[in-house]
Amino acid sequence: MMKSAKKLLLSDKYHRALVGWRNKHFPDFSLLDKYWNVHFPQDERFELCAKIVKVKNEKITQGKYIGNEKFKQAKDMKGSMLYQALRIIKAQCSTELGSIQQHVETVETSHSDYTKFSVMRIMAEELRHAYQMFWVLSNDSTWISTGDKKIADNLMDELLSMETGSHVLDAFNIDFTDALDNILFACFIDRVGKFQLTMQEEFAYEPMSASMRPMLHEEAFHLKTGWEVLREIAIAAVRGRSSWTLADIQKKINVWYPRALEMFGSTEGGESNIQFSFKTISNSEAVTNYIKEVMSLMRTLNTRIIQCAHPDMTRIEAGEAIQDEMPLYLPSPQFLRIRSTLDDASSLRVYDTQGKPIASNLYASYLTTVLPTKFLNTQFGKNYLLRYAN
Amino acid sequence: MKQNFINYSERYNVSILELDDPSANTLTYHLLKELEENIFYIATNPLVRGIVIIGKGDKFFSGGVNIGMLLTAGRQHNSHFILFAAEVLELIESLPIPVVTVINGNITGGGLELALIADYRIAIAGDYNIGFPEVRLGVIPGMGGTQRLARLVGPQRALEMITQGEFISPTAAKDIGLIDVILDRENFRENAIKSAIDYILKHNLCQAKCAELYWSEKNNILIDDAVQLSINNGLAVIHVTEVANTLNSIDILIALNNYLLDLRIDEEIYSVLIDLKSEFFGKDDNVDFFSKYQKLFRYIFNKISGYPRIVAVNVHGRLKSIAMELALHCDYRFVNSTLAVSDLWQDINGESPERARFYPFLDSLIPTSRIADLVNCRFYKIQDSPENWLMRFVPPVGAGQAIGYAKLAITKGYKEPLSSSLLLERHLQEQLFMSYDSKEGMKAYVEKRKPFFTGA
Repeated sequence: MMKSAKKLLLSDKYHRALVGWRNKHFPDFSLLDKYWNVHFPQDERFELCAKIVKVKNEKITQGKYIGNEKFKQAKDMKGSMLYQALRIIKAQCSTELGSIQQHVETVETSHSDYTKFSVMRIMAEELRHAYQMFWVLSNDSTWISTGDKKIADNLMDELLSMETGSHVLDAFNIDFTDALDNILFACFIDRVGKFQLTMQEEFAYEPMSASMRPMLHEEAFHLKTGWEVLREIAIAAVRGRSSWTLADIQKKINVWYPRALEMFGSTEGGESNIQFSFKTISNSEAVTNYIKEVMSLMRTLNTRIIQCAHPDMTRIEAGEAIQDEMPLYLPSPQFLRIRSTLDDASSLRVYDTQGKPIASNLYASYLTTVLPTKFLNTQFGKNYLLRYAN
Repeated sequence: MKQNFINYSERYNVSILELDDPSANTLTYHLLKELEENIFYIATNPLVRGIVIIGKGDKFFSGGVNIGMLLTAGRQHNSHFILFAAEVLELIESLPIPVVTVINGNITGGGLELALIADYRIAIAGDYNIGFPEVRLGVIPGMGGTQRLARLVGPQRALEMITQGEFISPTAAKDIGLIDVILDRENFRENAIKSAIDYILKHNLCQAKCAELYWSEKNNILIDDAVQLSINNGLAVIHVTEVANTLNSIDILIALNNYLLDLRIDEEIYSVLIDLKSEFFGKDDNVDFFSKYQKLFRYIFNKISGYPRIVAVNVHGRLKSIAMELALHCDYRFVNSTLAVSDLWQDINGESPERARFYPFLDSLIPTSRIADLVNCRFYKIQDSPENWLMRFVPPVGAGQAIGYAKLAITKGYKEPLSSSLLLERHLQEQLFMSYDSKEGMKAYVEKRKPFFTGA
């Protein structure tokens, strides 16, 4: 499949802009390039380019335009469809650039050289994904809105100037505080990326759907890295050979898992994405599937942790043991949410990690027991406390 | 692939317009343009006895103006969009047939403004949002919502709803008179449309409108030949060719309207020239025809006077009624140097045989008090080409926005009481003080150099 991907470069202007962006936000890229063959000898060498494959379906498979050919040009999309397509591309691209800005802060403190280079590879591939979105915007000169002939250029300029704090989705506005963030982010946030990219393979705008398969292929490495390294760290924690404890890991899960759920959007929304064939399933269905998948991964991880703590236990016995108590657990989907409570500010409620409502005057002190202190001191953490904890 | 944002159907000669842009049926330029096309059809179809407007789906009637569009487009586009939306709403409101809105779900912002123009509002029972959240977005309802709501529910309630920006339930909306009737959810769509048609048939008392069916003989290919557009360096030229002499005026006017709409939201257009090569504005250019379509003519001509850009007309020969009226609505009029200006004046002063038919026509469109002004309007005879002459209004030479606002202050303010026009003038001036061009203009003045305007 991937052999058939066509590689394309952006116009000189935007190619240079993204290389410039890389030099500023990812200055160690040259190290990755230099040692690629040492760490990833089996894998194709990284190239900053757009990759296009033949679309899975040439026709739209659902929604308002079912049975029609996919839209080959942006100018054919009108009304809400045009603006929603732009919003999705913007959010996608913003996440790619935002994650690099986050990873770069702590990648140096990775617990092993291989982890460090894996995270750097993730960063490079995220940059390629941003490059891909720039291709989607710049390759089609018909990205014209009523009254604005430069919507693609404006959007690309806006994306290039975004910093942590100004990205579209709040998961990408959180400063990383240590290398554990790099890993938990790959575990939870990148998995949402996998869901979005999979759904977007059916995107009604053909250049976008033709972009998804190569991105998904790369995303698989990000997910694998996240869960493999998390397992390594958790086992090291059980054996007392890590600077992090299981409690530290749990606190990070409490940060990143709610942010991942938030990325799916309002549980009541997503209908128009299906109608326009931008995504294949509703937000609530996607989030349910995501939770199911992550729970399964957590069970496997916990089984390994129990086995490590009790080497005499079989896998089955360890599996039974985690029925009673999970060393690491997923907090309630209601914990640390923003989107669901913002919709109805008058009935604002906050919950603990078990999903029980908690009085807002007790909430701040409660959060200090379940979240990393450094996270609460980030700008995101401070803003959250200001808004939700009295 | 053609996208439809308005699904049109008819029952008992009642037009049913279904807003269809998932999932919230938000108002975009494309949707409104299609709505306008449908209204043109209805306005020229004598068989239509009323209009029902409903939203597709079961969640939204309309979520109002598409915020994604407002965020994507520039300030000028957005202000032109709101102007266009307000005009379409006024056009619907002005039709001499009943309009009913069937509120099938959430109705907020611009969606509610659309519903307010109706004579009767039927809503589905249930728990959903009705209201104007604009102040939460840092704006106000701008398509007539502040005015129509106050007239419908009283100024105090309107003030509370709009300044608090909070939603109310259908029951509360009915209590204050915002909704006329609430129907059960079961078979709502069918029952509501039936009720709407009942209302229309009871209230349509032999409508006074005089329209004819023109649409059957509409010839799109010839219309494209009759009205053409070219754009060059910020100046748009709409060519009305001799082919116009063979077509219906209403079709030509609608084609002109469509071009004007597109130009009006194009931020890089600073002046428009209508090059009138045709003596007639359509084969049926006469007073009788005008009187039948007076509202449509007024609607389209207002697009010229309300467009904050200089619109000029270049006349190549004597003009008949509608063509002359069009010329009089433009800001500048040029006349071919081989033509005696006195020939044109004769029409207006009543010296020519045309007077009898032209004078009452003017009377029907504008107040008598304004005729004198129009008679005094100048036809420029220039040596240069009109295109070159108009470049003085186009950046970098002209401060496009200030020129447009000066025109608005005069053409719009002139018709209002002095206190209102002074308010309008101040408001426009405040906006201009925030523009790049005002800073550049003042800086250039101090530095004793020519300004380089950008239109921003």
